[in-house]
Parts: sequence; C-alpha cells; structure tokens
Amino acid sequence: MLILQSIILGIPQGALYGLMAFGISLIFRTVGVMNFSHGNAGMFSAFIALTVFLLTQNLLLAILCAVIFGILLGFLIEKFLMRPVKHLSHGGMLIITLGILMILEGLAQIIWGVNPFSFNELVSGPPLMFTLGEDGLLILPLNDLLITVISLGITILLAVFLKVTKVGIAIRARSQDEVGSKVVGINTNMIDGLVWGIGISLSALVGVLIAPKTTVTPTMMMNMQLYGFTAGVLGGFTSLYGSILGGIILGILEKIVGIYISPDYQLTIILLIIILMLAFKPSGLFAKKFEGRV
Amino acid sequence: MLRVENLSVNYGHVKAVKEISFEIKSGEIVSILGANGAGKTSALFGVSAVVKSKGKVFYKDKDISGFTTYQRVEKGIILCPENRRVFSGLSVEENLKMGSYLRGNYQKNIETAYRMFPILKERKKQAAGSLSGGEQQMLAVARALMSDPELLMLDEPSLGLAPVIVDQIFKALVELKRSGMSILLVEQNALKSLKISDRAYILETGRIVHSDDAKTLLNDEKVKKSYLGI
Ligand SMILES: Nc1ncnc2c1ncn2[C@@H]1O[C@H](COP(=O)(O)OP(=O)(O)OP(=O)(O)O)[C@@H](O)[C@H]1O
Ligand SMILES: [Mg+2]
Repeated sequence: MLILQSIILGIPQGALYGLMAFGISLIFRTVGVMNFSHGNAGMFSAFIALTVFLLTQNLLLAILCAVIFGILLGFLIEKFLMRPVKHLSHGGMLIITLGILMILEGLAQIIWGVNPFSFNELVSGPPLMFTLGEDGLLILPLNDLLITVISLGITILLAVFLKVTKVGIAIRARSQDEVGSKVVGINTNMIDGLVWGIGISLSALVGVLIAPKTTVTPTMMMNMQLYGFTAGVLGGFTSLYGSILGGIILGILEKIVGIYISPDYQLTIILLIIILMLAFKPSGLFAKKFEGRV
Repeated sequence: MLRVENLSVNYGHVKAVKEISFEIKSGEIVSILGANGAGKTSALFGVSAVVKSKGKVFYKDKDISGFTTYQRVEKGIILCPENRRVFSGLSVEENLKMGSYLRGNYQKNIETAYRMFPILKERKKQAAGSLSGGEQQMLAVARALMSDPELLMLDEPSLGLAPVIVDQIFKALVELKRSGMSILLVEQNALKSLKISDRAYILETGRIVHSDDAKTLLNDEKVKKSYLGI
C-alpha cells in the first residue's frame, strides 16, 4: 500500500522533472549546449507570474505571462548571448549559461528579495481518496493530478509537433546536421531561437507548477535543475520521450527512497544514479539508434 | 546567371580560397577541378554562404553578397554538399520533405525523385542513417533536387557510388541541363565531369590557375598531365 502511495505521489513530481529534462534535452540536442541556467530561467519566470498575480489576482493570466516571458527569454538568450559564440566553442556556451544562472539569481534577489512568497495551486479542495482492501487508503491530491495531466499533455503535444509539422521536422534536421539543414534552406538561427524559447518556456511552466510546494524564491529551482538533468541522463539526452519516462522513474524513485529509507538520502541517490548511468549506460535507458547528435 | 568576384574564404589563419573569380552562364554545366585541399568545397560554401567569405556574388545581375544561406536557397541556388550531410535520424521521406522546405512542390518532386532513385522509395520509412553510403549519396542528390534548383551546385556527387549509379547521375545532370538548369560541378573524376561540362576552372591551393572550354582542356596534354592527372 505504501509503495502504491509513493508511486502515486511520485508521478506528478516526476512529470515535472520530465518537463525540465525535455527542455534541457531539446536545447542540448539542437544547439549542443547543456543549459545550466535552465532552472533559474524558470525561477525568474515564476517571479514574473507572482508579480502578475499580485497585480491582477488572476492565476491563469499569471501562468500565461510566465510562459510567454519564458519564450521571450529563450529567444533573447539565443540571439544575444549564444549566437555570437555559437561557432567558437561549446565550452564558451557552457560558461555563458553558468553566467546566466548567476545573473538571473542575483537579479531576482535585487528585485524581489530573498524572503519566500507563497503561490497558489491550480486547484484546491479535498484530495481524491480510494479505499483498497481492509485498511488501504490511497490519497491523490487534485492539484497533483492536474499537474500530471498538463505535463503529459504538453509532452505529447510537443512530440507530435516535432514528429509531423514541417518546423518540427526542421528542428530535428538541424539537430542532426547543421550544414545539411542550412543547404536545404532552414534558417538555423530562427530554429535555435525557437528551441531556446520552447525549452525555457517549459522551465517557466515547471516553475509556476512547483511554486506552491517550493514557494517562490531565488533558489526555488536548484533541485529542479539537478533532477531535470538527472532525468535527462536517465532518458539519454538524445531521446525526448526518454526524458519524460526518466523524469517519472526518478520521481517515483525519490518518493520510495524518502519513505522507505530516509528523505536525507534522496539527493545522494540522485547523484549515485547520475554517476552509475554515465559510467555504464551513458546513452540512457531508452536510447534509440540514429537519434540526434553525439 | 552567377558571377563571383574576388571570393576569399579563410578559416582562422588558413586561407582556403584566395580572391577567385568565376561565372556560370545560364544553362551551362561548369566544373571546378583540383586536387584534395585545393579549396573546391570552401568555394562552394562561400557561394552558398555556409561559411563567411569576402568578395562579391552576383546572381542574375543582382548583388547577393549579403544574403544568408536560406535567402540564397529561396533564389534557387542549391548546394548538394560534400559528405552527403543527410539527416541520419530522419526517415528517407522526411529528408526529402526537408529538401522542399523553402522551395519546390513536394508532391510533384518526390515522384520524380523516386523515379530517378527507385531504391529510395523502397526505403522511404527507413532512417537515412541506416542506408548504405551509396544510397545516402543518392538521397543527398534527390534532396537537393526537391527544391527545384535554378543553379545546382554538386560537391563530389559520385563519391562512393558504383560506376553504374555514377553514370546514372551524370546522365541525369545532362538531362537537368537540357531542362534549363545551370550546374556547378565539383568532381574527383575529372575526365567524366569534363565530358559533360561546357567549361571548367582548375583550382590549385585556393587560386584559379587555369580555365577554358571543357573540350579544349580535354585535348590539352599539358593541362591533363599537370593538373588533372589523366
Ligand atoms: N573548417 C576548417 N578549418 C580549418 N581549415 C579548413 C577547414 N575546412 C577546410 N580547411 C582547409 O582549407 C583548405 C581547402 O579545403 P577544402 O575542403 O575546400 O578543399 P577541397 O578542394 O574541397 O578538397 P577535397 O578534394 O579533399 O574535398 C584545406 O587546406 C583544408 O585543410
Ligand atoms: Mg571538398
């Protein structure tokens, strides 16, 4: 019973890790840079949502603003920070994402301070309860259910977009051969901007969805960045579906460790997973042949 | 059709192409010949703006020097690049679809492509990366043709292909020329390419050292010996 309950609580958390990993992977396989500022870009977007909410009391509008801000931020990062160094070195791009990470955190501290702000859940109300057998009781909070549905819905939407639309195929084409995509007439700068926009907007969404649990603070997305990265490692950074599955596995694992062993070991286990995966199966659990770069 | 003036391509300190000028008239097949490392690929990359270059490029008497690669593709200047550059994780069909990303009627051109290379139709759902080298080369040529090129530039299209297929591609090029396409051809096989070319330029360490009608070059023993190794 306890194990079922941890799975049920782990899935919504894992779905968010999956969304983080999806964005990180999408950016990685398209432009070849591991975006260390991913979490903080989402954090900053969450502050935008908070500000809009405090001004309008409209949660949906606040979330929408955060996502749109995320898209813009992604475009700006690509255009002004990544594009100038794109063909110089991947190391340079990596350092720049580290710089963005610190700048966003500093800016958030200056603008909003370090005291946590609470943030509303999408839906409140009593959780769904199921009785199983004699004294079995499963609890499923409504907000968690909604988070899972939104995360999976968006993943499916994006997967379909990448699979069937012309621009989606162009994104995959560009991730596989830059020269090839240029000579067929793909505007690779535009595609890169779009990929950064989509990626960061996913982190923005994760930011507002996790905010009720973490509160809104400049460091709220530190764990998300790490867990998103781990989910990406599990899924193999070249497989987008793998990201989501990796996220959900990680979410469940985290709850199980928390309940059966101790919450203190959650982070240790995560780090252990990264090391083991990188050592023994660097292509991830679900890597397919002929997918993406690397 | 295309006129290139003082084109230079540098990679850091490496001067790959040094102020070369050449032109392709409408409906011509023009070859660029030269040894490995002469700068042929770099010259084509310069014309397509895949790499940065100095100098001027005129297309139909319009200065397009500032155009990006996709703006040149829009105009009908299409490069079939060296080493195939197919999208290995995409299916054959998706690769061809990307060929008509900016230009060309996909429905119509894919029929032509499959007629030209029937093997691609058989493999259309297969990942391009799982094709044999020769099949990938066919796919690269087919993908370039998907965009209805006005000026088609091919960088060693026969690399790794069996002689029968090479003949097939060269025959196709002659047909494309007849239908009005202008073609800029880079080939290791100098003899074969001169036979279907109107004119040729010979490139040596980034400079054009010789240019003439293809027929004249084919009969010039000195040129053949010193530059073409025929
Ligand atoms: N990306 C690059 N960075 C540095 N040098 C380069 C780069 N690409 C090409 N070069 C150099 O530029 C010169 C011209 O290369 P290029 O590929 O244009 O020759 P090529 O005539 O196409 O040769 P091949 O027949 O072998 O294809 C060579 O000396 C090569 O080493
Ligand atoms: Mg070459």
